[in-house]
Amino acid sequence: MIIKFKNYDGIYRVAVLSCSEAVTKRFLNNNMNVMHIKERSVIIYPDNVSFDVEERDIDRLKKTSEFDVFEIYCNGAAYQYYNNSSLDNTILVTNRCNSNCIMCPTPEIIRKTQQQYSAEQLINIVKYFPSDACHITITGGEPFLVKKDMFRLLSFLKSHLNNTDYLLLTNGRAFCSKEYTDLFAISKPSRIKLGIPIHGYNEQTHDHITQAKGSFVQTIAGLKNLIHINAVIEIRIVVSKLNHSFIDKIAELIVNELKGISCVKIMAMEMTGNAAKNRDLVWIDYPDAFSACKEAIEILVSNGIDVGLYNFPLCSVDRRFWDICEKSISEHKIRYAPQCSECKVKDACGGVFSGTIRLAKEKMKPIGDTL
Amino acid sequence: MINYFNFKRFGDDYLLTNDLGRYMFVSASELKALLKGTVDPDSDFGKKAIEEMFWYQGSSQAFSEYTIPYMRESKNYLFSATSLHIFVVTNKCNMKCVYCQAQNGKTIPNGIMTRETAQKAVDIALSSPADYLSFEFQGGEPLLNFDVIRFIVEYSEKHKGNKHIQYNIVSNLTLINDEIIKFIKENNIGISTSLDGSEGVHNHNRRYRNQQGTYSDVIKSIMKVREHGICVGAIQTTTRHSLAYAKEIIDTYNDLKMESVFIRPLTPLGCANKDWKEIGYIPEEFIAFYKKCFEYIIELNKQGHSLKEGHASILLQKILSGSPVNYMELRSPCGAGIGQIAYYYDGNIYTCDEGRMLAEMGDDSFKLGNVFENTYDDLMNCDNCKAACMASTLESLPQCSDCVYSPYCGTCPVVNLALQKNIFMKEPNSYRCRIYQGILDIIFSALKKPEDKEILLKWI
Repeated sequence: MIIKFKNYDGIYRVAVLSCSEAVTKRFLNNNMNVMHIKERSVIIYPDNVSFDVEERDIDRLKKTSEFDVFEIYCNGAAYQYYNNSSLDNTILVTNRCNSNCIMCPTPEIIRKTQQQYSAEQLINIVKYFPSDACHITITGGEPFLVKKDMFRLLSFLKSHLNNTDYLLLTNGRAFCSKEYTDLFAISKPSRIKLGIPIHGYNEQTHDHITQAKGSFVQTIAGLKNLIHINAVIEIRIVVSKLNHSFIDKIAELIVNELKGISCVKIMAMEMTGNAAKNRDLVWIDYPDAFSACKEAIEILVSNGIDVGLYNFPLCSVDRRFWDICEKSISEHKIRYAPQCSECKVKDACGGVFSGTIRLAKEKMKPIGDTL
Repeated sequence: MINYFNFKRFGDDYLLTNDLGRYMFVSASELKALLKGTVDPDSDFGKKAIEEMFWYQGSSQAFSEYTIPYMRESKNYLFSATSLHIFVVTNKCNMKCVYCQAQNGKTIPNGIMTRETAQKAVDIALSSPADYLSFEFQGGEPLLNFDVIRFIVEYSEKHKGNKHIQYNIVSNLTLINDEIIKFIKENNIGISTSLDGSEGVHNHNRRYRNQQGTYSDVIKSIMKVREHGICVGAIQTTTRHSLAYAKEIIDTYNDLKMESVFIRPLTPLGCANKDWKEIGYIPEEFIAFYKKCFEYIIELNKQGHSLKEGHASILLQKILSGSPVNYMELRSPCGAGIGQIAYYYDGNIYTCDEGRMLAEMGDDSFKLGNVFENTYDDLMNCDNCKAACMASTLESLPQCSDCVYSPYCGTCPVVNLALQKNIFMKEPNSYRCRIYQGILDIIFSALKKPEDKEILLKWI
C-alpha cells in the first residue's frame, strides 16, 4: 500500500506510526522517526514536519495501525513496508535475479534493471519492526545477489527479531559455496526455513526452465550443503507445461538424493510477467496441472514428506487431496469466477490469482455437495 | 453442521466434549436441536455451540481448516521430542514403603549407577532434539548415590550447548545434608518428595527398613530445605489405610503451606500389586476418598487458603485453556519413549519410570535399549517404543475413542500389561479407567457450579 504526501520535503525517511506518547518517546529516544496521523495529514518527528495526504489516499490512511512502518521516498510516496495487523510481512532484498525462469511472474525488465538494497538500507528499515513480528518472508529476485550483505541482514534479524518465523525464498544457487553455507549457519535466526525451487529432474530439464546454464548443479549442491547443516528446507515445484510430464521424477529425485527435506510445496502458476509473455509455452489448465502431480504427491507422502498444494482452486483438485490445499494467494490478489458463487466450498477455497483468472475461469466449476 | 462429539448424561443435562478438548453442558432439548440441525445460530446456545466448535455454518472443509490451530494446541506435546529424562541412579533405598512400586520385597536391591553409565545416558539425553529438557533423579533413594547426581549435573552443564535443562530430585529427603543443600541451591535443582499425610498415615505407609516411621524426619528436612529458600513439592500416595483420613491429609499439606497436594491412587506394580489385598481398594473407594479431599480443598479455598489439587490442576489446564501441560500419563499417545525415557542404573533404557518398574519385577517388555549400545534414534525407532505409542493412542482404542473424557485422559500400556497381560486395554472400565472417570466426574460437577468454577480457574 502506498500513500502519497502533498508537497513533500524530498527527504528519504523510514518512520513508524505511533498513536501514543509512550511509543513516540521510545522511538525518538532511539533516534528513530515517528509518524503521527492528524485528521488528513501526517506529522513526522523529530523533524516536526507536517504533510497533507492526497485526497484519493485518505481511505488508505484509515487502514493503517500503530507500529506500521513506512518507507517514504523523496517524491512523497510512503510505502507501507511493515503492516502490523498482518500475520505475514515481507523483506524484499532485490528484484534482480541470476536465473530467468520462463514462468516467473515478475517481468524480465524488473529483474534486470531495478536497484537493490544494501544491508545498511535494509537494517535501517527492519530495525523499526516490532520484536513480536509473527512471520516474515525474505524474498527477491534472488536475495543472495547482494552477496555477503545478506549475512549482515540475517545476523541483525538473529540479534533483534529472533522469535519470528522466517521463510527465505532463494534459488539456493549461492549455497553451492561451502563458505556461504557456513556463513548462513552462523548468522541465521533460529526459526528460518528456506524455500528453494526445483524445476526439473536433471540439468537439461531444470536449466531449460531457469534459462541459466549450470543452475541445476548449483541448486542441488546448495541443497546438499544446507541439509548437511540441518537447515529447514521447503522444496517448491512450480507446475507448468514444460515440466508437468515429469513431476514424479522430481519427487523421486527429492526422495532419493535429498534426504532431510521435510516439506514440498507444489504450486500452480501465476500468469503475469514472464509467464504471461510465454503463455503458449508454459500454460496448462489447473485440473491438468494437478493430475500431473498426483503420483509425485503419493511418492513424497509415502516417504514421510509433508506436501502442500499452493494456488490450486479446490475444483481442480481431487477431493481426497483437499486437506493438503492451502489458501496461499495474498488476499488482494484472490479472484473467483462468476460461477463460484454457487460453490458449496468457496469458503475453504483459496481462489486463483487475479492475473490468472482470465485463463482459469472456464475450467472452474462449482462443487455441489460438501460431504 | 455438527462436529463430531462424545457425550454422557450428567444429572438432567448432558456433557458434550469434542476432539479439540472443548466441553459444553446442554439440556436434552438443546442436544436434540444440535442433532436435528435446528440450532438457531443467533441464540445464546447457538453462539456457544459455534464458539466451542460443536457446530459450524460453512463447509466442512473450511471448518476443519479453522480448527487446525486448536487441534495443534491440544496436542502441543507432540511437537517436541523426548523432554523428560529419568536417571535411576540407584535402586537401593533406606526405606521400605508398604506400596513400593519399584520393588516386590523379595530381594534386597544394591545397584548403583556408575559415572561411565551416567555419562553415556546423558549423551543420549542431550541428543534428543528437544530444546527444553527435564532431568529427573530417581531411585530407590537417589541421594544414596549423590556422587553420580553431582557428576550428571556437572557433565550436562558442560555439554548442553544451547539446550535448557531443569533438574529435579525425587527423594524421601531423609538423607539431606548441608553439602547436598548447597549443591541443590547452586544448580537451581527442584525437589519433589513424598508426604502421605498426617503423622499416623505417613508412618503407616512410609517406614524405614527397621519399621520406624519417617514422618518427623521428612518434616524436619522440608523445613530445613525451605530455610535455604528452596521450594519443595510433595506428592501423596493413597493406601487402604489412608482412605479414612482425607481431612487430616489435606490439613497436613495446608498447614505446611504447600502450593498443591497431589492425591494419587496406587499404581498396581511391585509391592502394591503383591500386597493388594491388604493395602489396595476398588476404584470407587478411592474416588469417594478423592471426592472428600477435593471438596475439602475447595472449602479451604473459599476460606482464603490457596491449596490446589494436582490431578485437577493438570486436567483443568486442558479443559479450560485447551493447552495441556505435558503430563506423561494424561496424554494421547502417552509419554512412553517419545515424551520420557528412563535410564536404569545398570545402563538399560526403558520407555518410562513404570516401564523400568515392571522390569524390576522381571518383565522387560518396555526396554528400549542400552546406553552402551544404542543411540537416541535407535530408541525412538525400536518396536517397543512404537508399540507403546500405538497402544496408548486413545483415538484408536475402541473403548476410549467414544468416551466423553478421552480428550483429557490417557492409558498406561505398562499397567495394562501388568494387570491384563496385554498392552492394549482390553477390559473396559479397568482400575485406572474407573479412577480417571471418577476424578473427571468430580471436576466437571464442580465446573457446573459457578462459585466452584471461579476457584478452579485459579488452579491453572
